[in-house]
Amino acid sequence: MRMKVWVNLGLLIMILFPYSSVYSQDAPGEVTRTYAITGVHIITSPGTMIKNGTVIIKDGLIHNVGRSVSIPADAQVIKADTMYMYAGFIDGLSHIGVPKPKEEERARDKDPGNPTNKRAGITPEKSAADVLSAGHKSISEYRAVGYTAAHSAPYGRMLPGQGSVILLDGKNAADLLYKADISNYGQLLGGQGVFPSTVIAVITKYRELYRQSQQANTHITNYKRNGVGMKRPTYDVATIGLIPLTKKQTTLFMSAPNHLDIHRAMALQKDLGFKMALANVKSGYRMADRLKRSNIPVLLSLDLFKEEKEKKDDKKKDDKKKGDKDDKKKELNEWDKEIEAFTKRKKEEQNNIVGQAAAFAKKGVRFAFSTDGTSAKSILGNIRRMIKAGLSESDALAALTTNPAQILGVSQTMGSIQNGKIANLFISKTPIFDEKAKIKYVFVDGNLHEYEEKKKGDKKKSGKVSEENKAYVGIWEYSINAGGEILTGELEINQNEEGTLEGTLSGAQLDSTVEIDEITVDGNKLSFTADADGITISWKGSIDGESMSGEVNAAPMGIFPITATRTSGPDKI
Amino acid sequence: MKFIIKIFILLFIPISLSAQESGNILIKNGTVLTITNGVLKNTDVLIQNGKIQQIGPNLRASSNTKTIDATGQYVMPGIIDAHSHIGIDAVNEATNPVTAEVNVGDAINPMAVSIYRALAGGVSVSHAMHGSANAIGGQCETIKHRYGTWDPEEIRMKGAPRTIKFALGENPMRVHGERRGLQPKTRMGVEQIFRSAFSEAKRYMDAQKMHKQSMGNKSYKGIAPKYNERLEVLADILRGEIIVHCHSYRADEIYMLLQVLEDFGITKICFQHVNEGFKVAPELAAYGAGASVFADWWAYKFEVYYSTAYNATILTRNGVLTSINSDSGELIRHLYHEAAKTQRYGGLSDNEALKLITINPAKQLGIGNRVGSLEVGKDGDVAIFSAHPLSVYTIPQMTIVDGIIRFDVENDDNDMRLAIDPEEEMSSFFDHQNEKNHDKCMEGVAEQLFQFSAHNH
Repeated sequence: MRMKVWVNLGLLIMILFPYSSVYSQDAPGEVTRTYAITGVHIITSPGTMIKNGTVIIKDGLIHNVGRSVSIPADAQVIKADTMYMYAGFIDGLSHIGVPKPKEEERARDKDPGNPTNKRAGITPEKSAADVLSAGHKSISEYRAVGYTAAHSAPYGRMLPGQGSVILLDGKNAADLLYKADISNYGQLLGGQGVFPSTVIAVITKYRELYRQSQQANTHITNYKRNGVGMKRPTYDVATIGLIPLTKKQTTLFMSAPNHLDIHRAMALQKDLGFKMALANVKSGYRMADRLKRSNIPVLLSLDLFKEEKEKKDDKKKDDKKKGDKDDKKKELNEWDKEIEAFTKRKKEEQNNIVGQAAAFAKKGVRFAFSTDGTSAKSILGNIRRMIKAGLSESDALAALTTNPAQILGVSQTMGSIQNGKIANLFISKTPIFDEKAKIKYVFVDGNLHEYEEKKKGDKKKSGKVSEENKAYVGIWEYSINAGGEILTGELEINQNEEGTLEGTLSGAQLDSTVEIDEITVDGNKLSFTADADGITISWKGSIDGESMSGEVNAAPMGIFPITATRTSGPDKI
Repeated sequence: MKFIIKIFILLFIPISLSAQESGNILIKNGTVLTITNGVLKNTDVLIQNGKIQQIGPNLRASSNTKTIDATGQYVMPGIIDAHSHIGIDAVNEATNPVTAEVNVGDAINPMAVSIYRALAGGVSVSHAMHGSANAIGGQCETIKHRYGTWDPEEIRMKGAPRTIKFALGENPMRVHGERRGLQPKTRMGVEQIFRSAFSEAKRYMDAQKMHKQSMGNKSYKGIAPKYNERLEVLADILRGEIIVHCHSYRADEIYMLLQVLEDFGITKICFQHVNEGFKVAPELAAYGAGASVFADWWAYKFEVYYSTAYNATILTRNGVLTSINSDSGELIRHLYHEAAKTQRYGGLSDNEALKLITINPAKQLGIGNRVGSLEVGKDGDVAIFSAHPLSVYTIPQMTIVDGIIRFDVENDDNDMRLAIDPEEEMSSFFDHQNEKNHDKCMEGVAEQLFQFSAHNH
């Protein structure tokens, strides 16, 4: 009786103040979770578009999609006339939302042949869900370019852990999680200086762990059935962590950037028989037929090599050469011929790599894109390069939406704009693959993020850096090819109050961020030294706009090539 | 324009050669050095479907058979290198004194240009070995130089016996003993590594056997011994399924290993380098051990000073199955010169010298029934030289693998790379060879040690 009164009172309040509940339930400042986006061209799925349609978003879901859709009274109306709406991009594999762990200070490995699994980079039991950080900058960075969901895995080496599907919005890690532990993430990457150190040891270690997991599974099963008189199963987290893989309940997403990595991963898969997807594929175009036959899903990396800009002063050089003496000219021509042949083959290889997605689409290889190793800002540009090389826009969109949804097993609820799916979508002023596409709104889980166009006068601090230092100042993401192993990190160059340059160098291979010394610049040349864990390294780079290449001398290890890209500089902030 | 077209054609020649494709070739009128059946002048060699079908004068072949005129040239079996490290992406897993479970065959790189360079020296088969950092290193792979394929499976010599690398002396002592303070610190310690490893493998085999036998018993509640890749491979050595190839220098250690192997019933053994092999040649012969040596390379570390260029001859004269190897991406291009040195030092006959780089290494790798001589039924692996291959004036003309021309001096472009780095600034031979470490057996070790020590300050 008493209860009924309260219910009636509640109803009365609701009738009197119809919007009050909305106000009280939502975050401060948010008026409603119902949106009506009107007048928008809706690309509901790759290749299908509703012109001038309306989309209703309610309670985080896509409520209604169509031409003549009634707009709920509580909806916030977003007029998106002449704009384009797409399903939010889904990343195939990355570390979005996962802070990069600092390399731990390690004691001397007394017995590098018998390291702990953790030290060896074998932590299949680890969950991305446990290391997610809702405030990590990668979440907003990728969201700003259209990503609304990601398949995120922990950082590590051989078996870093399990990947989860996350939404790119949330106040805490639990909000981000959509589907935890859907995959095992694997790499053909050894532990540094301990077994398995080389690729041959990594491969054999996969075999051993897999077979040990199968054995452990049998043992555990038998023990459960009747453990009396039986030795108890030991609790080995690595082998137990792989049992779902051996039972084909999860998929191993194996990072296989290059042709030979793909061969090696496929040979291992054939040997052991687990479910596999290939990830971070950069150069695998020769494997198209085989991948098609195997039906192994492929995640193509969006981390393309940097485009080379035509050098303006090339012509000047040519003119100068003409003036040289005849015999010297002959010599130069011989060398030029070789350079010409070399450049031609390099160009062909570049074309093959940029054209890889198009070739895979043509062959019918199941593929999506993954963003591991990319900077968010480079993504749309790189996709445009692939489109230029023959990839259709609808295939590109499929590789960003429906295909990853299917490969990750979330296509029921994500990947297209349909009633009942999660409101993961974005609106762009022009078609998204246009050269100057600007994303205006992104919805993740029904939450609106709006992006203002930056005005040219907004540049911060741009006046502070002197003209002569502009070419060097900023954050450079570098990668060092140390005999096949790629070491990456950041080089930060700043201008101090005196107007001179200073900077720091950081990276996973360094124990801590180190100051750089002896900075000298000369035109496009930048060099410095740094004390990296007791070894003095000397860096010599030449800058071409936003990219730098050169070498780093890390005696006694040797001299290694470096490439770096400026991700933020005086003109980019 | 002509230049561009030429480049274009050359680009696609190696790529279009699909691997394990076998060819038909008729080599006309050469001086045929059969190795096992003397020298046949003005003789033809017919290869059909990758196999030698006929050897004799005035042979005829169907119209789809490519004919090569070898008039005035020398035709010999493709050269075999029993010790190299080309065509693989990892050499040393230098983290443990025993790493029997690793296998360089898991990291074959068929695009390695070093394979082409070897072909340019008439070498058609090489033994891609694990390094010598560990007493028991990894398993090795016998590869056929089918340069042009992108598929690692296609350059494996399928059916070749399994082999494994062992190492005696200073390399394992330095890597594990001196630098890490682990066993082996001394030569005695190296011996003990072998004995411990094989004893453990025996216990593993026994436990497996016991488990298997008890499985039928209903009241049996035991569990299988924990699967162990390392012990599986060591057990295969004990079962005689793997040929041991052991890096060695000193006679006392060579004799030590013979005793260890005898104790564990292991008979398939070929010593590598064996610089002091001449001191224990009768013992090697008695055991049936092979010896694969350098012609004249020594003094690069303390244990390799007591050496002689007569080594190959002394071993041969004592009845040891002997070969000459390269262990180097450079030496591999002129193994025929290396073999010729045995005529200067020891006076081996032409055929004895040539055996050192053909049938003898083939036997050491367990493939003597398939390659290493020109005989009907054997693989169509042939090297053609402008002059006698032991002459200093000779120039390799053509190398044929399974009846397919993989090297032709007339069609040898500047750039024979298969794999191209899309970001590489400029490639040069110097860059690729700019490795200070002369000792290829220790490839990768410095890097692993460096990483290891870099975090210790």
